[in-house]
Amino acid sequence: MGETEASEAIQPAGESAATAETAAPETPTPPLTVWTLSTGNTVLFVLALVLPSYASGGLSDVLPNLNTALGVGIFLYLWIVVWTTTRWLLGQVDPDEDSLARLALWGGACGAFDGIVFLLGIVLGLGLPAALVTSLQLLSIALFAAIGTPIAAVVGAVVGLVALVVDLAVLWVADRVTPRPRPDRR
Amino acid sequence: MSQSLHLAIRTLHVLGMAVLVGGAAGVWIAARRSIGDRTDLARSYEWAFWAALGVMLVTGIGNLGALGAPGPATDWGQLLLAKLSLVTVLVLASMVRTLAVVRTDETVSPTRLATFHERAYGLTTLALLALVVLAEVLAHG
Repeated sequence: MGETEASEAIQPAGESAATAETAAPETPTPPLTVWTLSTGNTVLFVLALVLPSYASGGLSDVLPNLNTALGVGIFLYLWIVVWTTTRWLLGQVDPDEDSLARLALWGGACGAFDGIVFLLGIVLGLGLPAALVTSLQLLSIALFAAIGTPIAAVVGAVVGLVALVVDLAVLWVADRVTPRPRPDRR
Repeated sequence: MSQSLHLAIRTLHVLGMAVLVGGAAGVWIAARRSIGDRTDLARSYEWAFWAALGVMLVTGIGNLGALGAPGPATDWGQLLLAKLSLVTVLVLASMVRTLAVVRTDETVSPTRLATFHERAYGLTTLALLALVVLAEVLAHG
């Protein structure tokens, strides 16, 4: 683990911008970077929902009626989806080298994919079992999935772009606060 | 069943904070006293930090639901909003801290590394202790 992480500091010096535009990163992203960005983004996403919802008074009525075990399960599912996508995404793009347009395209696309996978997971995990034991009809669930999928894709793409901006900002700041060896004074 | 679940949620929440504060304070002390391999220690803590933070968030929301949160206009609600805002700042700052730890060149001088670790983990410990105080006030008034 240590060797892989340390290798991030050693970027291929001669790599041209044109190559970086089209090729996947040569240096694999350290697993700790993937873990940090995916967990940070998931936590910030939930906080971005909870903070304004509570401040507007909407959450106080909803919270007592939520099923705790279900909430934990949904959060874990979201966490796994974001971690998997982030790991795959950082194998395709290099935030330090690639153009903003390329990053935005991939970030938005992965966000849309996350939104769809999250929604379909909820439909399959909650909707189908509910249809089997209650009067809820399968057609209603299929209709919900059909209407919800494009909405989830759009919302996911927007969230993906916002997450990209946050990630680029923290990477930029991290680059400036990282301790570096003093330059040779000879 | 419900009582047991809520007890488990509260226990996880407390244990999660113990990992966060104890780990940050441990790395900070190790940096101040030059104990062991601080780079490995810091990286190990960062893995645990993000796992514990995810657990803290989900158990925190679970606690809110189980205990029944008063409205945002109350003093309690204002304090909760302050706590959640501090958590947001901590998450952003911690992303910076972890990424800086990952990017640290192993040839950097021990003094510079110790200074960075002291500042980063000292600030993290202080922010986490502030959150503990806010949580205490929210729980016990």
